[in-house]
Amino acid sequence: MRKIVGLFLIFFSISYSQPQIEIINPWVRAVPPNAKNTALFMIIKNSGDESDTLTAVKTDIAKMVMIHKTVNEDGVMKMVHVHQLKIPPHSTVELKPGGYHIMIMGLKEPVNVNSMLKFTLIFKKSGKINIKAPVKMK
Amino acid sequence: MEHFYKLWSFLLVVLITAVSYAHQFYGYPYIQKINDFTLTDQNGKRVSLSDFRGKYLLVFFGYTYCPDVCPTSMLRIKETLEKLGKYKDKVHVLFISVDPERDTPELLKKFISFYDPDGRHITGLTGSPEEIKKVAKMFRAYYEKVPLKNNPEVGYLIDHTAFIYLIDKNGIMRLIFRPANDDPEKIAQDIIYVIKYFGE
Repeated sequence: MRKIVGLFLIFFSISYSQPQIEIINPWVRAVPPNAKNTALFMIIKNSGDESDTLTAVKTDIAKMVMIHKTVNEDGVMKMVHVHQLKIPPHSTVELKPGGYHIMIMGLKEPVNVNSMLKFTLIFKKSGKINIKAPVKMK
Repeated sequence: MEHFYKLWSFLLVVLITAVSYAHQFYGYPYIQKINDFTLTDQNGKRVSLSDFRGKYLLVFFGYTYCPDVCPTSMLRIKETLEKLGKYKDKVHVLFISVDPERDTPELLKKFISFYDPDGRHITGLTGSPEEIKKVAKMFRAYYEKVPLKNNPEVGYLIDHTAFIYLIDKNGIMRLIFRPANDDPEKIAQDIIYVIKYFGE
């Protein structure tokens, strides 16, 4: 009986310990109408018991999207390509100006303030999460 | 003896009050004469630093393809101008491109007009790579091309210093704002203090 309960507990913990991803306040920065590049920011919250990893972001509005981090190295602002962004369990990771951001390169059309842009975030465990992000002048 | 203590405590209160009223600079105080230079503005016209004598200048080095840092700084500069009140017309912004190969006057014109709705407070400057290099050196501004792999659309980004320099009406650099110190309210207060100190 004890063995069965033990097995059940193991099974239970495997099937129920998983990441729980929530995207909070996503926004895209308004840039001049001829600008080729901009960035997407948000807070990624994981209230689950396991970590998850953001591996890619897809959108139709631009030719290429990459996860980047702005690093201030002795006053020089550098762009570092981040291949994967880990979201530990019970934590939040903030993508914000001057830090982690989703770099949107080769905009196909100008982005207008207050318009909503669609993105698909791809996580290793949680799979695809579709979001809409407003364009903000901030 | 008691009078002596009373006097001292009174003086101490006066001193503390005086110190707390003195302006605490938000930017990094700096003194450097900026030699005159000439670059090409957003209208294709050759302009010199000396053409702006009499104005307080905010100088920023960036590029229009910049995805994160420059749009942030330009927005903060726009907000700073809005917080200057009656001093706004005493201040002019120079956006100097560190990407002269791509930043043509036409591109600069569209870029700066986004941050300068009335079209009177920001000048975009570009030039030959040699000209830009010389000007950047004077400000100790650093920039370096970083090629992007598998991305012919953008080609390259540029690592660069992102300081905002305040130059007084006589062409002397007075303050440097680091990217982390980008509160428009506080930058505006520093600028107003400097304008009041050196005169309009």
